[in-house]
Amino acid sequence: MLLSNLKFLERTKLKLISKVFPVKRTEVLLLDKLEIALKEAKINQIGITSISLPPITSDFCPDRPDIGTLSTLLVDQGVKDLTLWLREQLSYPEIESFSILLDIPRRVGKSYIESEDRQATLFDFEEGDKNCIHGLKRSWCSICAQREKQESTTSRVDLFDLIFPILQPPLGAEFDSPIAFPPGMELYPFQREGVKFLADHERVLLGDEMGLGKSIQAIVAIRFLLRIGKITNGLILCPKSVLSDWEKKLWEWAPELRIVKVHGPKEQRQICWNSPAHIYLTTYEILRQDLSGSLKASNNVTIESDGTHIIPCPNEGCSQRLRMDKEIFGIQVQCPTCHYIFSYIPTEDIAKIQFDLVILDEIQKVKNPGADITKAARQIEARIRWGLSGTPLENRLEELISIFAYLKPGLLHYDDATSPLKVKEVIKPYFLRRRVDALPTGELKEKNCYVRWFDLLPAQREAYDKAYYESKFYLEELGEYRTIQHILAQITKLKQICNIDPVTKESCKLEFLLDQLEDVSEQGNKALVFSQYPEKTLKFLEPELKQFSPLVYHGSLSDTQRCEIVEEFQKGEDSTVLLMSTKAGGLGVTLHRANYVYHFDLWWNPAVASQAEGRAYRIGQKKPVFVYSLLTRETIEQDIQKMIEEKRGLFKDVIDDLSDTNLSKVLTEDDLFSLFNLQKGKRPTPKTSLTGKVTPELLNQSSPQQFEKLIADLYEKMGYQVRLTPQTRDQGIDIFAKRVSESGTESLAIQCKHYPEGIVGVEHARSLYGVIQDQSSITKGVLITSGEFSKGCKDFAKGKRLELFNGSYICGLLEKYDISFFEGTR
Amino acid sequence: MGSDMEEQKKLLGFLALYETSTQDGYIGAILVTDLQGIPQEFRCTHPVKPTTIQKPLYGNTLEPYIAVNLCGIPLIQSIQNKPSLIIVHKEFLLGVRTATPCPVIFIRRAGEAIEIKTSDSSETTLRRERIDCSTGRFQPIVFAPNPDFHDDTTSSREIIEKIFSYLDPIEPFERIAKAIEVLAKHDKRFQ
Repeated sequence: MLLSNLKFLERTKLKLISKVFPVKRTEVLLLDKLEIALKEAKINQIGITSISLPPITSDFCPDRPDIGTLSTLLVDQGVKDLTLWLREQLSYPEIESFSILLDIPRRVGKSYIESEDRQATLFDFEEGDKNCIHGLKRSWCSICAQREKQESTTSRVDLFDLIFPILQPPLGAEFDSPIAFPPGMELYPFQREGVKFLADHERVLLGDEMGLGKSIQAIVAIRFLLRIGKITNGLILCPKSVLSDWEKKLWEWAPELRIVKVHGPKEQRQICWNSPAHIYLTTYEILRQDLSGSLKASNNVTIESDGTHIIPCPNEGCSQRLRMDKEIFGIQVQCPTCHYIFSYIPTEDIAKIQFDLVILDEIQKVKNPGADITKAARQIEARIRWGLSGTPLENRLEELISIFAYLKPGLLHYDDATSPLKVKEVIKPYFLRRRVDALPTGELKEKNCYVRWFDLLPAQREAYDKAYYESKFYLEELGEYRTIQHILAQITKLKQICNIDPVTKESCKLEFLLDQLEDVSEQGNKALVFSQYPEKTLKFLEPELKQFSPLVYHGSLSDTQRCEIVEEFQKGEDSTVLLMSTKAGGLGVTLHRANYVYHFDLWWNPAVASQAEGRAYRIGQKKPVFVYSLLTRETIEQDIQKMIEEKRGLFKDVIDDLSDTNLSKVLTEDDLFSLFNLQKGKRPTPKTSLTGKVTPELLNQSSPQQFEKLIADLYEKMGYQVRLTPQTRDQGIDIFAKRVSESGTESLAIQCKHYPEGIVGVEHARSLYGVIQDQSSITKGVLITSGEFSKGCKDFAKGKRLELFNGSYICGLLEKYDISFFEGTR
Repeated sequence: MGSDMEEQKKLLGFLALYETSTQDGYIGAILVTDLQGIPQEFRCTHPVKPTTIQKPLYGNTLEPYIAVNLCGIPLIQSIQNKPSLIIVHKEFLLGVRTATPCPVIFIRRAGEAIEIKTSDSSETTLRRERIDCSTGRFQPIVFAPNPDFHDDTTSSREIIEKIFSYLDPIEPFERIAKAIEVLAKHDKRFQ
């Protein structure tokens, strides 16, 4: 019972548990015979071929041994010595031969000095052998010799000319090598810093203020990199107005480099681009023209891999894109849509685009990413890229970002324009800017003079050449009657064309001046522009410079007007530039508000230019003064300048004491005639003085009329046309004298006061000044006495259009011009 | 005064042998400068490329043979501006002295490791002299003439002492090396 209960309990428990935790029934896999049965082994049968017995032939066992045959053979041949015989039968082994001789290699190279049989050195004192700009004697200077060779054969450059800079001695880490620069050409400490900055960085912007020598720093840095072999070539892109100036600076600061100036017609440019050189120098505009093919491609022409061009139909209004195969380039075709007939000649790039280095001068010219010149400049592939700009647009961030987009792509993004501080921080390692005012005292000279050279623009050149030959013809026609006045008049005419072509109004100097004044204005500075030609030059410049609100100061203004102009320029902020007649503005005026001075043309007496510069460079000037003389190449300006420099050099060598004032007397009449390859016309022999020297005593013995006549003769000898006034109604004027000079017509009103041993008082000076003040045609008044002038008279004349000549001075002039007392008083 | 001028007209020759950029040949070069180091003439050879057979056959004599017989002597004979002193940067180039009346000296920076090419002609057998730069601008140098021309020491020392205050006589060899490098870039015949 108990057992049955127990079994029941167990069963119930089991049932319960199975309800709560049901147990899955175990799957039983049934394996049938088909699945597990092994296949019967297949028996492969191999056929075994039976091995047949080898055939046994009679040859298998020779009936006679071979040796017997050999013995018979040797006997037959008569062989006695078997070794000898065998040696004869064997052929010699082939001997492999190698040449171990090394040939003498070909030798190449060149001598860099002109005379092959002479030795070069630093010093040589042969007569007539002048110093070159490197401080060496020209005939011994390999750098100058190299340059001369380059000039004579521009297209013939061998490989050894290109390695010439590398063979030069190093410049020194601090550019302090004594033979690094020609004498007198040294870098300022801040410029050395700039050169190091450029040489140490591949992608930078040098933003020094105008006048601090950015181009010179860049040239020295190029020279440095070339000498250490870091670069082998480079491209300099600059505005047209400074192209010649760059060329001149490159010659002065890096004479060992071969420079190719890419300019002129297309064929010439193509030759230039293909000439080997260290530095290619060209303008943005020329680069744009010479890369016009790829610029077109980037604009609206698609060039396919097979050379086919897809172009828009040239007929305006027809939007059809046409496929131009190479075969139909230059052939007339018809647009299938509008039936417009045209021929298509693709423009090809002629410019090189691969360089080790590129310099973009005035890099702000390529700030507009959409402009063609920007696109052209950005096609230049160069590892080293330097930008130069005096106005690096610190306040216009988009433009700065655009500049850096080429210099150092990825450094800045256009979104950064909203955060000036970030931009400033990011560009800091790649940007160097020094301001004139911020330079330590003594780092820069107080007065910095530069000469800028320009090539005449095409129409200007044409006008100049025409005028030159006309002048020469005219002077030759005059024969023995030609005088210095004739020469001066022709020089004036030519110099005026060098300033501006009167017909087309083209002016290479104006292009430069406009660029400069933009910087001057942006820096908050002011400028003076001097010219000798108020009518022909200043009047033309005034409207051209209207954006700078120019003021004009010339001789025909009244004294009140002059004072007003000076006041306005000095105190006002509107006018950036003051245009001044060299003669009228050269003396007595204080204009130290300006610290930039431009000589649009030069008087040949440098003292006059120096006096003009003195308007800005004087007490009260707080900034360094920058003086630019603008001159044109291959013109009479260059000839005159060369002549002056030669005279200056000659005097320096001989007496080492030539002031600019003395220099004016150095240019003789013969020099001026030689400008036209002419000789002075034969003139009557001067009459011999009857009485000899004119003394103050003799002068005192003359009558007032004789004295006036003597002075009139004197002025006539000085080259003036002279008119004596009637004795009455002369308003105090005794003589009118007129002369055509280099600066135009000079008219003098002369009053003679014959006061033997007497003193001329201030009232006479006042009276004369009163007369001339109302007559703008009179250049100046001249008061002459046989006696002396009072102090009051001298003080009154100071700074006015008045000149005073006393008795002794007049005696000196009479002697100089060989006028005898009797001759003058007849 | 006259003798000063004569002194200034003296020229220096820097004779060198370098391996080509492709490391399979040698280029010899001579740079003639004035006493200021300004180049007056430069001549170099096209590369001499010994074959793989020639190299082991010449053994240690390969470089000296190329340097002296194939490059050095022909180069010295080809220059138009004859130097007063020839400076070489490898000891075995002293061998050119037999073919020129001009003194030849081997020069190296004092304290530099000596490169011994052949046991019987190593620098250790040379009569060396040391010169210090009077201005302290350059490290001292050691120079040695050809052992068969001991008299060269006096005349060479005089010139070297004179120039060493402003010109490092080892520096022109760097220029030659760079020039050869640039030549190879421009013209494959120099590779």
